[in-house]
Amino acid sequence: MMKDLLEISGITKSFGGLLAVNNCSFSIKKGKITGLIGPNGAGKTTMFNIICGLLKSDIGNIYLNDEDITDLNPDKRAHLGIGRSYQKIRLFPELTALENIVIAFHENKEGLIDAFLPYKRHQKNLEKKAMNMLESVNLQEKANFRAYELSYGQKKLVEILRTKANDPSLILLDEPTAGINETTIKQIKSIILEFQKEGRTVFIVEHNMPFIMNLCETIIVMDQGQKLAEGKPEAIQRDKKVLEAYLGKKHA
Amino acid sequence: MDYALYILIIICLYSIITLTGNILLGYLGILYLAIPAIYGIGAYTFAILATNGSNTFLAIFLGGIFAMIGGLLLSIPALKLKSHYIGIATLAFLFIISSLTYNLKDLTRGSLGIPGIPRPTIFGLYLESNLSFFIFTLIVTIIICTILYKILHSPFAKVIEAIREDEIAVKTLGKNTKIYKLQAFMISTFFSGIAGALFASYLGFINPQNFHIPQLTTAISMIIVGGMASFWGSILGTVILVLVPEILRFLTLSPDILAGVRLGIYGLILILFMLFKPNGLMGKRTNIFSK
Repeated sequence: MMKDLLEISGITKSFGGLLAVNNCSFSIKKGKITGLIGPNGAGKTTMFNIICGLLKSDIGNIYLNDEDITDLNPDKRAHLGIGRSYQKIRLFPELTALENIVIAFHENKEGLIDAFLPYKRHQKNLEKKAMNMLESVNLQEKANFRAYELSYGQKKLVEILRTKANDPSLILLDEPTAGINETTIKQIKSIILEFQKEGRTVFIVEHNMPFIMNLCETIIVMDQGQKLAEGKPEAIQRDKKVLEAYLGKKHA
Repeated sequence: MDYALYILIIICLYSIITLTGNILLGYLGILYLAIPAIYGIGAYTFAILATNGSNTFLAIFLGGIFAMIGGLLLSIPALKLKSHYIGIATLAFLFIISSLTYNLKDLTRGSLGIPGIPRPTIFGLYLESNLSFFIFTLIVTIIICTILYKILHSPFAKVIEAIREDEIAVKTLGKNTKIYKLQAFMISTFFSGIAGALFASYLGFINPQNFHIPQLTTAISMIIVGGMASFWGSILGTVILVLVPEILRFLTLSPDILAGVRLGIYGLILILFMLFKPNGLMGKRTNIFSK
């Protein structure tokens, strides 16, 4: 039996009168790639925001490695190993692609006092490390471009690399393939598989069904703020409740 | 000679004020409009202590410390707010400090101002001549600018800029953004206070009118002309905006009109830059007005 890395227990979150997540529970197995799907407005991104700490749930608990992290702020959770990318890219537009990655390294000497200490070589090494990461996706020539100058797909790649540089054990990817071409999707897929090889756990929200069915070992389906189903991709594709949620009762 | 020294001293002191203002306005990207209030605290601290016989070096240092305390007080509301609300809060702070300088008459003598503020004394040497004061100011300016250069070209400054660009993303990378913002406030206001102390010492006389909206307009104009979040831009903007109005001196205008024309020119430059070069001569896109 594989150990659970993340456990979501009875999470409820409402915005005013809107119940975005309703008593939702599930868990994520360590070292696996898990998918989270559901119709628009099902509460997937809200769930991601609750897991990484940007939103606080009204009720319920979140455990990472059996430790209750429900009350921790996002920066504390990041230190415990939760990293994420965003549906709407959140790079630092005025920083270069390279700087966007370097800033994510835990070894980055970014304290105020560090500015006066001899860390030049140390920082050069981090830049080299970031450069190697950019090379792995053929973006080395864009290293010194400001992030806003990159194309959409390139931004998406740099954001995933930044998440990787932060060295998380649990990676939340919010629609990593939305709006990008086939070649870049392949690159992202190989990065995700690499994440798994490195022993990281990946949790993906995605609307691209072929992508997610092909990549994930387990898929969780959310609808109207609740967990609707969970299982292997093949089982989910045949699940009646899931088809109903996506297509409506009549068609299913 | 004295005129040239006056220009050079003003450039030195305004360079510090512009740079420290740019840390918050440009690098951190908040609408920081309390600039004259902060260096005003430094100036008044120095004036009050030095006219009461305190060691001038200690008084300069305490000018920085008290400005920093003012900055920390200001940071409490400023860091809770967003975008233009920060502008309103920091502007309100400017008015509060101004009101205090008018009304704490026992300390500040209100609108009469504080006369007879001494120049610094180094190792028993009183810097009475403008040349010696300039040399002293230049050394202090170079030291402060070197420190700020180091800071503003370090990974620390990158985090500050990243907070300006996207604070949420910085948080989810594991950084406690509040601490970084507080540190930015502390550095900015401390050195700004020291510049204020030197201002008071150089002028020899200060009153509340030295630290209000016209001085804010000047400082903001320098930052915007030079460029947001740019070290050399801050200094370039200062040099340009100190020198341009000086040309007016060669026109024979009465002092009353001159002051108005000078402010008018700043306003015009500000509007033209906003329209045609909103990032200034060397600045970055900071979007502080659109967040």
